[in-house]
Amino acid sequence: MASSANRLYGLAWAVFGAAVLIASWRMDRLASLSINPWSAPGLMPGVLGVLLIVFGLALALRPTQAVEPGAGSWSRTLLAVVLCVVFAGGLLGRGLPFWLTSAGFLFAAIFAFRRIDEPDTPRARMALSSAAIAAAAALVVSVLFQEVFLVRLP
Amino acid sequence: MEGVLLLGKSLGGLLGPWQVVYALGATLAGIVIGILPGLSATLGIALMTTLTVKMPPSDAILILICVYVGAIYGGSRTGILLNIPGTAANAAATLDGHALARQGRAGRAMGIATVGSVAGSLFGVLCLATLTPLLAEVALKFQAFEFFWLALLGVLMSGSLTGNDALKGWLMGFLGLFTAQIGLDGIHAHPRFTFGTNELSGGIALIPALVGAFGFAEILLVLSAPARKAMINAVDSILPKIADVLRYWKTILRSGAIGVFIGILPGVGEDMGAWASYAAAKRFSPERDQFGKGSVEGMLAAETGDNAAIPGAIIPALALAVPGSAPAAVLMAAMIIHGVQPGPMLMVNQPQFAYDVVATTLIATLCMLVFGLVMVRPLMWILRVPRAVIMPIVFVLCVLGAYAIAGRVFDIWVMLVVGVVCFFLRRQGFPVAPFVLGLVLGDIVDKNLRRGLVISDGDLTPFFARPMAGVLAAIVVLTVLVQVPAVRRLFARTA
Repeated sequence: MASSANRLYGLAWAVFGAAVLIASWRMDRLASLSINPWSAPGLMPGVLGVLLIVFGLALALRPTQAVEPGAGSWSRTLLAVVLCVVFAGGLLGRGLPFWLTSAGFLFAAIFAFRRIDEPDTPRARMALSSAAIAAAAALVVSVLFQEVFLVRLP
Repeated sequence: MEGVLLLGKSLGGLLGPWQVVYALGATLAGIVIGILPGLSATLGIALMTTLTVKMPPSDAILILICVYVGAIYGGSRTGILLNIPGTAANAAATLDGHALARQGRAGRAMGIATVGSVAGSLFGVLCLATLTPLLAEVALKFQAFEFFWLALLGVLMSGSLTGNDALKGWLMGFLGLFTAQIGLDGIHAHPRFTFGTNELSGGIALIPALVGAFGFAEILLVLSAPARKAMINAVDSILPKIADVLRYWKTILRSGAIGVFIGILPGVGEDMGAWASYAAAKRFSPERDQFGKGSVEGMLAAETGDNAAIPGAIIPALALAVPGSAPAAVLMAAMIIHGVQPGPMLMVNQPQFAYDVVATTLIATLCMLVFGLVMVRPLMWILRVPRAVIMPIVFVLCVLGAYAIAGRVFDIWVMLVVGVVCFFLRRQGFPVAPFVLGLVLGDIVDKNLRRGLVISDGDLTPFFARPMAGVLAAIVVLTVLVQVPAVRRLFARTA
């Protein structure tokens, strides 16, 4: 029997492949430019679409053992994704100084995960040490990239 | 003789004070990256590519190769002390390394790792210097047909060998190939899958995608799992024993040769170099019952194999523009960013650069030896830093790594999206390395398929009838067929 996760993922790959194939088929073949038809831009994506469909279906239909998903809790994953996306996708590039946003993100992330990993450490002490680490790391990273490596910060 | 002169010139250029500082600093950074579970050589090279983008090419490549060598070596520390390989390449060494540590011989295990890594790397450097020009000469006869099969073979082999499930590996490889098609096509500059947006017209940049796949996805994996306490005990003497080298010289030579060979195979990588060397050592050893229980020979074989695979993986990257592993793929992309075009014409147009790479790998090996002997105890403290502190800081570096090359906020979004997608796929057993190979080789596969078809006017015969193309096509077909259970059973019956 195919495992339900493999079947689901296999079908998703096949659907994705079908979408790629349709988009490739409908892509302009540049006939108006009189190019060699074998150099049409949609050729390789079309081949890949077919391969994705074939191999995706093979995965969906293959008799196999269920996959053991990697260890990890969804609440921790969600916390990590939200913190990272809010910082990188929401705050950067909106005019706030990089050192300030990165220090804020670092404090929030370090404090949140240390609270989960070290429940016995006093909260005030943890907040203070997390803030100190966050400020120092944000400052060092900003100065290192901007002044030493001459990289423009977002 | 000309090669020796070019190598001498390259070595001379690397002995300036700044170059020594760069080499030592980058090797140390690489070892730290390797020590930290979750951070890979691929991510290290990708992040350093961003930092070195404004440097002269020779200095930038020096730093990147030192990070590469250092990271593969540093991963053994974590394997020995925590039973968690720092990088995938150190998984084989962890079997005996951690067993030795449990017997109170962690220092000896680290000494063996240093000996094996240095010996493997030196053997690999010798092969890098001698085989690259030979391979490039052969490759000068290659046309679009051969390059198409070679690049496709890299993606498929990576899919077959880097995960536990070849089918999932191939799908990831095809995803990488597809991702490389986004943007203006390489022949007519026609937009593909851009949905009318300017950002996508520029394509999916390699470094942000790599940082997402190897950095952000790994950060999510580490932070989503419960914390594991580092158990670091007292360490005995870390000085390597000459007796080990003399006793196991055959194992060292065999593992070096296997490592280089596996490294040269397109898309396979250092972890397979280690496993293949370990398996061969076990097969030929009179002490095979000790393997997995703290065997010095097993540890030596694995570490020699994975480090020999580094120069091995660089050989096809330089000579064919088809990298032997995921980190070598990023290194190759960095070379292109710095204006060097790897491939058969490299030895014709920029032969000095090829020898710069040889000399750089040699310098990185010497730096690795220095840190292996003098920095064992200070580096162990890194393992005590909680991952709740390390991972958010690494994420900030990932954001900067994705942004800095082009200065586009869009690239940060690429990193985030690729990272989240790869995180979910990895949890279901889809390996990331084939995706990287696909991303790097997508342009080569696309252009050479279409060029080949244009040359032959749509006739597929030259893809199979030209001698070298035919051999490569047969290997591609076999790579897929041997994974089909019915074919495997048939092979087993005939064997």
